[in-house]
Amino acid sequence: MSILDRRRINRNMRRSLTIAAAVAISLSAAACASSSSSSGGTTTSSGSKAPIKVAQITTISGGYPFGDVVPGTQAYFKLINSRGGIDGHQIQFQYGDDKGTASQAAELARLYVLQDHVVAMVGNTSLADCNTNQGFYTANSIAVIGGGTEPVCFSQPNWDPVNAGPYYGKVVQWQYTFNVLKPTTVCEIEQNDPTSIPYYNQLRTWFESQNPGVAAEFKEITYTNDATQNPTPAVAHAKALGCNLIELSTVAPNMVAFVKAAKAVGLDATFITLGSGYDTSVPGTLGSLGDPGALGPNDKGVFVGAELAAVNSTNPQVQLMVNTFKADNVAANFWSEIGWVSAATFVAALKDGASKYDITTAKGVLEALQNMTPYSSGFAANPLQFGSGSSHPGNRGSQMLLIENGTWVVAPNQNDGDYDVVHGLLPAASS
Amino acid sequence: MVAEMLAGLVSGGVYAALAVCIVLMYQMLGVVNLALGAMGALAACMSLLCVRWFGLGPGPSTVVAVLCGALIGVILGLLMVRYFLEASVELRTTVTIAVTVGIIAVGDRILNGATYNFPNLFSGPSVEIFGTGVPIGSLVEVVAAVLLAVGVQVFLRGTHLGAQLRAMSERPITAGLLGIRVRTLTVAVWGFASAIATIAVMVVLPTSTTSFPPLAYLVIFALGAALLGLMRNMIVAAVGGVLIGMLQSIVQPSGIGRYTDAVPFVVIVLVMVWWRRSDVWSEAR
Repeated sequence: MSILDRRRINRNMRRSLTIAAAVAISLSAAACASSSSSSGGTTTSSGSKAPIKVAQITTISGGYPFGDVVPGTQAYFKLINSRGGIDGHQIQFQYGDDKGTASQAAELARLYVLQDHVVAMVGNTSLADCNTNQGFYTANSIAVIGGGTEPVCFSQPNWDPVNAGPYYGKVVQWQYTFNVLKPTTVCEIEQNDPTSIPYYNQLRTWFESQNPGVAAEFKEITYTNDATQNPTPAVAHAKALGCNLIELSTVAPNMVAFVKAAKAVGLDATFITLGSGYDTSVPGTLGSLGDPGALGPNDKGVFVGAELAAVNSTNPQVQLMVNTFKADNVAANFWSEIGWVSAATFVAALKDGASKYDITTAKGVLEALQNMTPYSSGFAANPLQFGSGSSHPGNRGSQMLLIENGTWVVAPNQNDGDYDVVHGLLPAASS
Repeated sequence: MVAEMLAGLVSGGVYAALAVCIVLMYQMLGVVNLALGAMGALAACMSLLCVRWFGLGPGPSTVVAVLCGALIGVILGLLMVRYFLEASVELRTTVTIAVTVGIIAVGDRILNGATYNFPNLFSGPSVEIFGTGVPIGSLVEVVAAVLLAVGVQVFLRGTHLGAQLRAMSERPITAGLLGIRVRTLTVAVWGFASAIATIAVMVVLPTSTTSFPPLAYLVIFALGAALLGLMRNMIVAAVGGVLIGMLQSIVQPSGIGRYTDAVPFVVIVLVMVWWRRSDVWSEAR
């Protein structure tokens, strides 16, 4: 072998190693960012009783980030553990990022349940978990309390959402829109989610049948994948159609982008968004653009149907969360609230059932949840209850909030005091 | 229809600018830089940090962001000339994919789901065209992208330095032996393209989502535009970028709006089929 050959081989080897290192570093960084393998580690079991192991599967990375659910859950468990845990049992919490993919959601569920032997899932807020793992959870007697995102989260025996969800939330949005805001022309700009679109359409038809005359005011439904696209075409289209109210179903960063784009194209309209748009940073980011009238005379403001209480509520339970979040440096928004309320409901049920069931086993936890006393969380339109039914539409209302003078305030004229509630059950999703 | 087309200038302007840079880097350096959007977005985040940490205004924070963009490009350029100067196009391109994944991981940490006010250089009133407001920044970006394409093409064909750059892209070793400063020019092109990408992303940021991955993936749509120019013609690539933006904008609010993301894919497939049509016919014969 000549010197030149050896040099070439060495050079090629160096390149291969460099490429491998670059890929490894990148993937490590990605894994680090997504926290997919991170354990919460919020507690260590210091008592003599066995710890209660729970886990969470949340979509942390991807176009729709729900990552703040994790610190919200951690903050509550940390608080409970500092107070002695549940009946002397400390809570051990871990979480993973399913990246919105079914394969990752399935893998994490099996990892936590079969390998780590968790007894329940708490705070799950995922684009894939409800659909992917419903059979697995039922087969393994694993109860889930979390944030529902798709129809199946609201229609299975072992999954209990603490939020009203995009469906009860959507009906509340329509109720408030047509009963209070009374626009002449409504444009709905929906997310490009194939699991939600058919049920939205079904609900809209049902709502129109319940509220004759509404159909004429629905001008257009525009589907947009707001995770990847600029909102300007959608609002330009809404302007061309003469819409004076825009209904959105999106997360806070996208909602802000839509309002700014509306200003840019000259759309004069009111904006109303589902609870996923609730974030305390929104009024500050929008500034004067968030105030009623900023887009023109048709602009009655920027509204959001907060599915859980506003963080400036005077309710002591809400203030406990706010103060704990401040101490733990956790952002207060819809997602961190879901984590907190999920954990609080879980703890309330286990405290309730600790004397009757073995709360260190999955079966015992499930039974405790199924037989829990309705829990007045201070965050929801009605007391939360897991129950023993085949589905759990626990939270049936939202609190309509409006931006005024740089902050969210409770919007006027809601049908149940500070909440707008759906009275009765929504139709089940057609298969 | 006109309103939606004009709205497409917002995205179209970014695609055009990124497409010009993609073609420039492919022609000069032999790399399809899939990290360009991520590099620009990461540098744009620096402007946000400038506002938050130092209270800088839109102008200074934009300057800092563009300088950061150039610096990111220079660093990556140095790494590329150090380790991949003689590597194949495929290998260099693969490296940019790894870079993209890494930058997205970092960017996701900076933009972590809250809402942000990015500095807006063109915060004045929009320009009213056919009853639709078009952000002035988008108009500027579209014009600038086309001028950039024309300018770079003229520069490459009409100047001594341009000739050196072309020689470098064809035969880097030979060019080096002839005294052309290959490494310096390569790093300079990386820095220049990254700075342009930063400006492109910053123009669209005030009216776009502030989630990091979508900003990084802007390069995918720009790639469709670059292919329209067959990875050679920057002017066609720039115009193609604007057209893809407009086409997406028309499709988005329509009944097939949920397939808007497929627009560049359709464009890429059509261009590839057209590009290779003679090969297929030759084999068929």
